Amino acid sequence: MPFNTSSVRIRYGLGIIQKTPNTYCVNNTSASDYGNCYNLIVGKPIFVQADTTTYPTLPCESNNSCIRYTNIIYERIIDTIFNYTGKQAIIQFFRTRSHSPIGFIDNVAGLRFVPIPAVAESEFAWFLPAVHYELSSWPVYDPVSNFKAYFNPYTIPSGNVAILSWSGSYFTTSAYILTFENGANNIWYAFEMRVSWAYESSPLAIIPLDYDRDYMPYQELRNAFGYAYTGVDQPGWNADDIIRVLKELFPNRAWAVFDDRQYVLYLYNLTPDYVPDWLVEKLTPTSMKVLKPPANAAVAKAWLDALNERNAQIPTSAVGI
Amino acid sequence: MSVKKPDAPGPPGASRQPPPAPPVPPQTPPIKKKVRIRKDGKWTDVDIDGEVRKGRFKYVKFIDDDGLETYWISPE
Repeated sequence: MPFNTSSVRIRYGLGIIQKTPNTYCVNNTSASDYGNCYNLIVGKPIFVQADTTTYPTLPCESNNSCIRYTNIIYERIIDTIFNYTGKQAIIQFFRTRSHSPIGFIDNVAGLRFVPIPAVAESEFAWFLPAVHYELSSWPVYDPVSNFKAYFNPYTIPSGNVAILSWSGSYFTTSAYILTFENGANNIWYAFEMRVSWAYESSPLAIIPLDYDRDYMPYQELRNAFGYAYTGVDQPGWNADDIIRVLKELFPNRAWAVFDDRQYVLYLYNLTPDYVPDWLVEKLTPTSMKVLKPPANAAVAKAWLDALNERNAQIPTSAVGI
Repeated sequence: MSVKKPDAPGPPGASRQPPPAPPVPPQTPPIKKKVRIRKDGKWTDVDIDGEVRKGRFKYVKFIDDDGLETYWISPE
């Protein structure tokens, strides 16, 4: 198989199944319920409030229903979708839905508060249509870039709704979720997005990692394989290198390595009992080999749970909604 | 024609010898199921230790030549 395709669903307060979710937060400082977030579906929305003297803790922080940032920034990288060292991927599709108190400014090119995958340093203009699409021209469809944008296609109790969709092909070694906050304070946004990309078939390191804590510090790890939000689509150059690095760096965690030449799935601190069916369907390994059986079932279970969480499968009945 | 006399009872107070224990059958490993798999480009018969189903696929379990516990895809 020359290419693998990956698809990831990322949710910060919104879900993809609901047709008209009404997730919102309250950023009116005069309101009695200021700082609360309501009707969350999956995950937590983001609330930016830099004044920690007046607002040491927001209600949504206290009840664990938002992620608060206390710094003001123009472009915020929320998360890393993938980062491949020395290998390219092709972003093929993304779709986002976001709720925020502020809509687009000027034209659709000013993507304020809309999360979109951006390569490296916020080079996202390539996704966008020509700048002459003004606010009054919604919905937007640009056939050249195959870009669609809808503004307030449905209403929520407070704030605006934006839905964007783009498909095409863009070669890049990395992609991030980036939002353009434009230095604003006292704002919130909730979003969900789906991104799909393709990458050249390679041996894979299958271990869910935290990009900042687990992956970034290790130079040898970054050279051996890439990072992906899914924990699955992490291509390297050869399976032996990946196994050697993982044995050295993560001897007490569970991980798997897929050799795409022999179609062998190597399991470490795992047995096939812990390998989810969807992963077998995706990789279709000819064989699975146990490098080390799990010394502790909790370690294997943690691997499985993290993979399932990051690769939420859409129920068959929900496909097409 | 001679008639065999019954065994004479032993001397008083002596216990009778227990009958010999039935012979223990020799320990034999359980017979493993043989399955034909496609390995290294040819069909190979392997003795399997079990089967696992994953999604649409069935895998058979055995110890491979490299000494690793191996699960190989198996024809239905």
